[in-house]
Amino acid sequence: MNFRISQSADQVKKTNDLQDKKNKKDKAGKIYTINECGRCNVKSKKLFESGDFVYNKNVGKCEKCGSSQLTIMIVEDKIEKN
Amino acid sequence: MIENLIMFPEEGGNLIGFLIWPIFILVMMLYGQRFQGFLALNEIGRSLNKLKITRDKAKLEVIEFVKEKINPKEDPTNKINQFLEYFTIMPVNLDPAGIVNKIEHIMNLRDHRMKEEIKSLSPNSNKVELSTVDNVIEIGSALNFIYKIVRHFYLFGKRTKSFFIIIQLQMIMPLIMQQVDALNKALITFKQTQPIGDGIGPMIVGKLMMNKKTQEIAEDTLLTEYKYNDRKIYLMKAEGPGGNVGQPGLAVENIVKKMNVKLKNIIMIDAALKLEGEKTGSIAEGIGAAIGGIGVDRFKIEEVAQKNNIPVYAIVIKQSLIEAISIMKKDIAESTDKVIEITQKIINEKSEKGDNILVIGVGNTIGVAQ
Repeated sequence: MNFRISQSADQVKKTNDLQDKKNKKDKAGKIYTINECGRCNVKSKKLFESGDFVYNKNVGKCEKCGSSQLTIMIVEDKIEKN
Repeated sequence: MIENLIMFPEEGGNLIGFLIWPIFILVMMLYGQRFQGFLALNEIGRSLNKLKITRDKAKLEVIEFVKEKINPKEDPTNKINQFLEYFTIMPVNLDPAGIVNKIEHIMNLRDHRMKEEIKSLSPNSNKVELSTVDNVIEIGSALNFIYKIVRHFYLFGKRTKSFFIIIQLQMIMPLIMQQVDALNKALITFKQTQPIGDGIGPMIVGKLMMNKKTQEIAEDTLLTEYKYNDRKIYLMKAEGPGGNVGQPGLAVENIVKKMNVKLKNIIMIDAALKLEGEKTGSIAEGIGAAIGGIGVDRFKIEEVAQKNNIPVYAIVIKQSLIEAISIMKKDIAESTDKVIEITQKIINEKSEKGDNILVIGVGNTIGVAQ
């Protein structure tokens, strides 16, 4: 049994890699951090970076009014807007 | 040609062809089941290969993650291999009275031991890092356990040539592989401390808790008080942004017994598994304690609610198993404001001025602060 498993492991790995690539292409969206201005409620969207978390208050100033922003969600989204 | 095979020899048919069919039918009658078992074993074998690759990959990823995240003093490989093999013996249930407290004791012991072991790898790491590592090791451990169980039944079925063991395993393999894919995807999410679908409850309550003073009511569980429409609202969630679920059962007990708060209502907000065909992020209202897990927290909340005659209302956000443990989908996150509206509606309709209401955000709060 072990022989059969190890023998076909490479083959399965190749199939998996192909499948993973296909899935990534078809389904997986990008991960975005969405921030909102505390005063004018304008939302901004950027790609997720390590260290981001929801309700983080230290995410810079609003480009429109200069007030503090807050991270309101970190989500996977297929369609890129902005 | 085919006509010759099915014709009698005296009608000009082929004698060999005429004999093939009865032999074929006889062989299939005698060995058909064995042949089917052989095909099933091959199919399970292919899935087992995939499972093995996933498990091995996850193991390596866990080791690499621990090395990067908490920078341990010594090589953690052996210790992590040891963690992945940890087991928990559940209490005996021959006499079920009082078993919930025994389960709670065992589960707390397991959690504490794991946390201490992880902390011993890197004593200077912070709470968020340690809880993230704890979650990642738990996923690695789950994959390891699933692989070992499937391998056990595969080998057992093969050795005993038991058609029924093989077929049962073949039937549940798609469900097992779906769970494995979900865990594999979850590993990436947890490594990056991103919020998961199950974190929608804490995310909703966390939004209401923002900029308010909190107190620790139970281990890794925070409580906030605030006034809304002349009512006192108690908000509760696990401490984020680390990967915690807190101890909501014990926390509710503490609010009622230690703080002597007379609760009018308990509102629980949680993620719930959707049925096929249901929309991700759809909201449903109901009654009862909306909380998963092994059952200890649910038991405690139900016990307190029943003894003090407190109605328990539930709001759930529907999602699949994969969505619940991987990065939060936009459809789920966007339900936040709607759920807050429903919560406020329940508070207004089911309580009067001066009442105390407890709102609990249930779930893993990874990537979600307050």
